Amino acid sequence: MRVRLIDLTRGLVQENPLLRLMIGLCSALAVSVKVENTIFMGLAVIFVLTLSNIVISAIRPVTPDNIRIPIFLVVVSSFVTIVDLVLKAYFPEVYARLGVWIPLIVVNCIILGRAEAFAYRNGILASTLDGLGMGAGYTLVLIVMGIVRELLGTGSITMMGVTLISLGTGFQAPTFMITFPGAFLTFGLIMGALNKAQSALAERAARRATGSAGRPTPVGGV
Amino acid sequence: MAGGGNLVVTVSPHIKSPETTGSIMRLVLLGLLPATLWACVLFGISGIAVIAISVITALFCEVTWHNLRDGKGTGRTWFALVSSLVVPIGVSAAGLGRAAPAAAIALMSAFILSEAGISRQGERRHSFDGSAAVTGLLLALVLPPLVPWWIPFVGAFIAIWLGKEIFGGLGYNVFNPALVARAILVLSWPAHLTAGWFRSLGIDATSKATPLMLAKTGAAADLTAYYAPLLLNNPGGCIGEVSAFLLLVGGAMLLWKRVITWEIPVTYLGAMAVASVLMGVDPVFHLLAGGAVLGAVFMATDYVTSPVSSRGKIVFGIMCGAITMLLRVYSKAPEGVTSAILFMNMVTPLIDRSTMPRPFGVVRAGRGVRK
Amino acid sequence: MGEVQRYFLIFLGALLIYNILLIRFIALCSYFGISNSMDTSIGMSLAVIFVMMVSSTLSWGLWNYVLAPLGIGEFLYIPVFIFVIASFVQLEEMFIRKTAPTLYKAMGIYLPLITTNCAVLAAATEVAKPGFLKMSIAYNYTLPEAWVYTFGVALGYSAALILFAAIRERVDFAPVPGPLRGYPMAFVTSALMSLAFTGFAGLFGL
Repeated sequence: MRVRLIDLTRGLVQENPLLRLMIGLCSALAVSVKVENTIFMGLAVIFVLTLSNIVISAIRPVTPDNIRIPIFLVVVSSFVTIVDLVLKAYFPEVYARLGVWIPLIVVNCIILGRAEAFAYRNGILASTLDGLGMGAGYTLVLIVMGIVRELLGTGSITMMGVTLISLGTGFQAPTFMITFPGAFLTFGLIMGALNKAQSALAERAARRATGSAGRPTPVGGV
Repeated sequence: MAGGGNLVVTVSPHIKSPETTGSIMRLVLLGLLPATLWACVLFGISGIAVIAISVITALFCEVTWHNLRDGKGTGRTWFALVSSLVVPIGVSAAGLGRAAPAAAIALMSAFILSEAGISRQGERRHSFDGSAAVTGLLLALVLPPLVPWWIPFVGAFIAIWLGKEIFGGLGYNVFNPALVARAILVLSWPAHLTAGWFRSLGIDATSKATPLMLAKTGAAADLTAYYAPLLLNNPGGCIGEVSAFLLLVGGAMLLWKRVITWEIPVTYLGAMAVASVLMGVDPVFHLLAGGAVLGAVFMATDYVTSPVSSRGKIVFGIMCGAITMLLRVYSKAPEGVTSAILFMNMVTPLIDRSTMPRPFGVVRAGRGVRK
Repeated sequence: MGEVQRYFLIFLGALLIYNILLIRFIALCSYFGISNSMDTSIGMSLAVIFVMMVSSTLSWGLWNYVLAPLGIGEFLYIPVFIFVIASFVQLEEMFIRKTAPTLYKAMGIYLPLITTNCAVLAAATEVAKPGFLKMSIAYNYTLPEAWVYTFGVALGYSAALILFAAIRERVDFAPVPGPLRGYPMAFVTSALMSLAFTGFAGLFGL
């Protein structure tokens, strides 16, 4: 079995689950109201995603094809239950804030999607890397969104009761950013910024290669 | 709409008419003029400042967006944008808080004027169709007269950029830009948007609250005492709520000039009257108070964000009126016009879709002949 | 508070004020995935209403008569609910295909998609184990209340989805700035739709 780096890095940008594959959006928009939440949520998803990828890849030979989805769901839900109980026992405030999003990791499309599209077709090592990479890609976007929303919406970033960054008392924070519409807007604009950056990079590469400026269509557009 | 070239390609219908976007927008501005002028008299310098900042910022946003979109004068446009943000902040940081809005207005006006002129190559740089001015004025009219100066400034950016241009410009926006801005401002800075009224009517000279707030809390026992001031000179409310009578005069002019049709204003206000009778509150007071007339005549009738067909307009108006009263009577907030119109803006594409006239000879697709 | 009033408030809260898509952010994948076609959106809405009603009933019964009395609910509810929903959807697909071909044609292809529709699991979990999707009214979900709640959620899902599909028919063909074309613009539009729904916050004290 060959270790390919691409399995790990794929999830970070070019197949980022949130910005490119458009899966797992619900929790991303909801929990990104606070950076602290995004870190816990990201860790929970990385944990469940990696372990369920490993197990699903391992039981591949004995899984009947036509009932694979319920089997995947049982595997995933066992790991989600572990996270659910651990958070509830050791981090009750975080658990209270994340609320329904922990049990909903079961139906987080990222996990089932990777199980179906990757783990069910690849070896254990590759699936592990894929789980880690996809989880990291998800967490990365979550943290960026969390930073933008918490910093603008409340004027400071607080973690575990400690203020890390503050925009000063003169800044009148637009609470809009931490409301529901603010989540949609932030995500849409981040996605647009990534499109813009990618098309600018591709344009520069194309110009360097051919000497002419070709305009590539942005990925992720309809 | 006219471009710079000789050949202009536009979408159908190709009906030739002296009516242009510009001429319609000028009439709308004219319709708002009586109430605006009266507000300037009543609120003095603070009212004038809010209106001026809002309108000028709206024009500035339109020019800068169009320049950046079309890739012309990118450098000077960015310079203007950055300096219009940095200079006022610097001025107020230097302790000259009152000079900040003046600096912003001066900078933005200079840029707008320079872009409106003829360039050295002899081409017109930017053609204004007046829609940004209308949006800016409407935004000012739904703000309290004593808001901090940066509220209309930020609001105009939201209205023009997020409410309109991001959707592809005039004609493509789904929501009324001025109301989008107001809703976001209310969510962002509720304290600024629910205060800043002038001292209320003579009847109740002590509290700084709008008549709707007083009615909501039950502080105003006799609502009939508010009829005359609401109709003529109401100082306790948003800038555009000074006089229902002057707004109606402007609306009548627009109806006469056929800029708007009767359906939405009549059904909106009619539904409000019926709903308030059903809910057991004073219908006359609710029709005159708050943004009802302004919303029904000038906001809900926006061509782009309201249904096309007459039937659709009637549904739209009735729903707007019903939701407005529902929110006024049963929700925590005293006013519901903004939310009602925004909600119905959202439903408009669906209304349009289901009230679309069927082309002659086309059979409605039944269950059997699905595509 | 009268009974009818309670039901009405639960329904309105689930439908409008705490709209599952635009205020709760649940089931967004299907929302963005299928809203580019009106026909698909309507088919999906019907299927979701149907599946949600049944799966909430099942989860309510399982929780109140099996999991809670045995004291195993706390750590088994996630696997049990999702397994029940997934198997029910599979069964139903087979059943409808055999007994009601017309209905199957209308909503059959959406059924497998519903297994991973988070809204179904969310509503099923909420009626059995209230507290996750809090609303500011007192409730403890008797079976009729659970039905009213689930119906409100399902109808709220359908309403938001169909409204969005109608809006997208416009927005997808507008000259939106290049990098925002497509999905980014769909998010910006949803932001403003969510803004419109936010306007109802506080109605009837909800």
